[in-house]
Amino acid sequence: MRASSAWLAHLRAGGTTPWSAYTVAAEHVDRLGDRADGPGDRGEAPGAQQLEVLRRLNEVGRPSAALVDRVLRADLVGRGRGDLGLADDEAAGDTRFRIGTPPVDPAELSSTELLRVLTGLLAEDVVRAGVPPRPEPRRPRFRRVRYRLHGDPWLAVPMRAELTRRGLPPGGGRAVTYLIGRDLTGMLVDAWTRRALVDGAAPWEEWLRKLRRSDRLPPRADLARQARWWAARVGAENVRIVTDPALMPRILGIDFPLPQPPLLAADALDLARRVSPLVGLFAGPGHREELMLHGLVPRLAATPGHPIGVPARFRDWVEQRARQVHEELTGGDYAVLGDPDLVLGASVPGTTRRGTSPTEPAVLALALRTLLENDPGSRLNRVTGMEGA
Amino acid sequence: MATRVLLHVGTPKTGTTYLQDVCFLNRELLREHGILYPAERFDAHFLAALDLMRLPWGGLEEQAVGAWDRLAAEVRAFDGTAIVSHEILARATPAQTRRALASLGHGSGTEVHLVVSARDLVRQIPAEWQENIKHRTTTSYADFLAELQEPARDGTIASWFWAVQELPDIIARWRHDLPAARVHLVTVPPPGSPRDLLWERFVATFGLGGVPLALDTDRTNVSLGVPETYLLRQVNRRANAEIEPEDYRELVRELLAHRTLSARTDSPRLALPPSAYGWVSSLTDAWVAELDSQGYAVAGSLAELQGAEPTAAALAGYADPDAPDLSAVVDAAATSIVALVGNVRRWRANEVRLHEEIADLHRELAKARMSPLYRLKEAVYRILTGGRLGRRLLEAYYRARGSSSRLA
Repeated sequence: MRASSAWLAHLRAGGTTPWSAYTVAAEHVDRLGDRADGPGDRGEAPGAQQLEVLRRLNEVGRPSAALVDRVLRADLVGRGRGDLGLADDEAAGDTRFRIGTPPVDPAELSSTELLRVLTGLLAEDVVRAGVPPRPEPRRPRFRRVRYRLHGDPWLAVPMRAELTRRGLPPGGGRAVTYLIGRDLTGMLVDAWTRRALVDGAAPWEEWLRKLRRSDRLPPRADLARQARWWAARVGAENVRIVTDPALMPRILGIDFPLPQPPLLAADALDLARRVSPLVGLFAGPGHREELMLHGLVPRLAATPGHPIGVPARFRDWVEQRARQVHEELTGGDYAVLGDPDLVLGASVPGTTRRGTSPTEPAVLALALRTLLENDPGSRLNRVTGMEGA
Repeated sequence: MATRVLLHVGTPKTGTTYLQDVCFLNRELLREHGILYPAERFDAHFLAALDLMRLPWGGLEEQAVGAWDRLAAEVRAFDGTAIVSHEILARATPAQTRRALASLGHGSGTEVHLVVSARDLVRQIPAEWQENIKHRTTTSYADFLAELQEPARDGTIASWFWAVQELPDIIARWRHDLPAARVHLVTVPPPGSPRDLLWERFVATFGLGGVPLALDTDRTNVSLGVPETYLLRQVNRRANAEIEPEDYRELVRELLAHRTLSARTDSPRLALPPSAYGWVSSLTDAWVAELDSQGYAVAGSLAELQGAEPTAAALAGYADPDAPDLSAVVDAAATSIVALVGNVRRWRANEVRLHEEIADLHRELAKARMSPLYRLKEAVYRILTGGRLGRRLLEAYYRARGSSSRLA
């Protein structure tokens, strides 16, 4: 017969047999007994989602007993169906009138459904791991560099942080405003990356689709708009557009390198996007950005895989918008430091970015591996044979 | 330790907002009568529910961290009866509900009662679709109904709808070992019933009879008619990519839907389409049979969950919200434009006033800069920064100022 309690025991012991292929002798089921604790009580038997996640974890490694318990007790985060029963569970009793969502074959659950279990656990890990300590910033130097650094926040924020750490905070009288950018494709990726990590974002292609439909650039990726905004406040003569981030140390006259943001694999980034709101939920206000950018991102940077890229069907639109930005920047009164054609990106020969979009199965595979890696008592099989590895 | 907890877990669109608002506004009075409604802000129980269920909610969830534990601790520390109420609790999983019951004192001497308020699906289905439209959905009514009837319920709409509406399932997830007598169903009276009847049922169930409550609140759910809902869906289709969530909340949901379109009460109301009555009726029969067999305490009547039989006139006059009378939609659109223009006019007046204030401030600043002391300071700074010695003096001054700051 097929009984959920027996399958649960099989999975706890490291089994990988799918539910639809799992059968066991009836007397064995009787020995396992019923975990529910009374008539009308559903007990705390795990749902099909948690059980299937455990089976998949067993396929890619050996989860510790503690991790097994965490998975089986995990909440299903976000919207979606509740804990699901197992289809054809012969130990489930009378099935003539079933209330609730119909039971399922767990092998048929979507990656999204399984990620609802995994992202909650991974968010707990992010909060638990915290942020490594960072050196205190130095006291501001007297002979300071007077600057403001904005533009692409994925580039500008770490640069500002490093300058401040070295005693060169932004501001000061008659400060020049540098708007740092790069090719529009890269700036779109950067804008989505920061949004996905810190603020919460729609999936990459859905986000691009909305932008294209409304034919607008997000403010963080729109150098021309930022230039207009700053020019209105500090005067165009005090605004400089920097199209090549590598030029910044020379422009500021400093003798130390400025950090470049990590290039994250598309699947890793999408996993982080799904985990991010839960980190906010578990850690509370004011902690999410720090935990995501300084706790999770450095660890994700080691994940292999192609970076995110603009799919071919959006390229015409991106190129057209890039030409508009280029025209506005070169036709305005701002000084442009670096080759203005860099904002055109892919339309300049030799500058095509290689990239991809995340896929759900690959994000799921990465989530399973990451959960095992985060748990000191668990181990990952040496050869997983999974995508993105 | 609270002696008694009344835990109201749904369902949406059953007068819950009104009940919660009355409890919140009268919380001091309730406490004087030995009843705790633990809330510092009107949405405290909503935040607690998000926290219990680990449910992200457009960024609001960050304010919810620890909210359930705080609420439960307050309940445990109170000597008397406590009321906890939020309709989204209806979707909690068995593990979450067990945790919630234990945290409120169930099993440790507190008498926990589960309260579920319920309304017939004939009214719940169109109401829930409208609520979706007011939350940026663009799904047509026909697609919404089709998704609800999908057996797998794996769509976003269906999974949420059934999680918060399927009464026997909600109670099964929440009940655990509570005796049937401690499970209370409050049914929403049929249309045409006395206005206060639902409130009287709430009062009886929650034991509020002896408290002279102030019942005036302005937080009630408002409903839209057929052309208004159609118009809002068209707005969603065109504006979703453009409007940020906070702007949508303030300008579309509050200003357009709640304050403007809901005032048009003469338009045809949303209803269940005639073709869906058979499905709803057989589903409700099964629910009622299940609920009846459990012997729960019912304020009202399980028969009310069957919903009103549609009259021949109602069936003939059914207004399809996917294909409404377009002249009524144009009328609703014109009303909306007038309301929005009125609002823009008020904002423009405000902007002019603010510009005048800014100009005044600029003038005062310029006057301050003309003062002899300011000009002296500026001259000293210019002289000092012109030479090496001066710069060193300034550096020493900044260092000293920095030290003072640190000491402070």
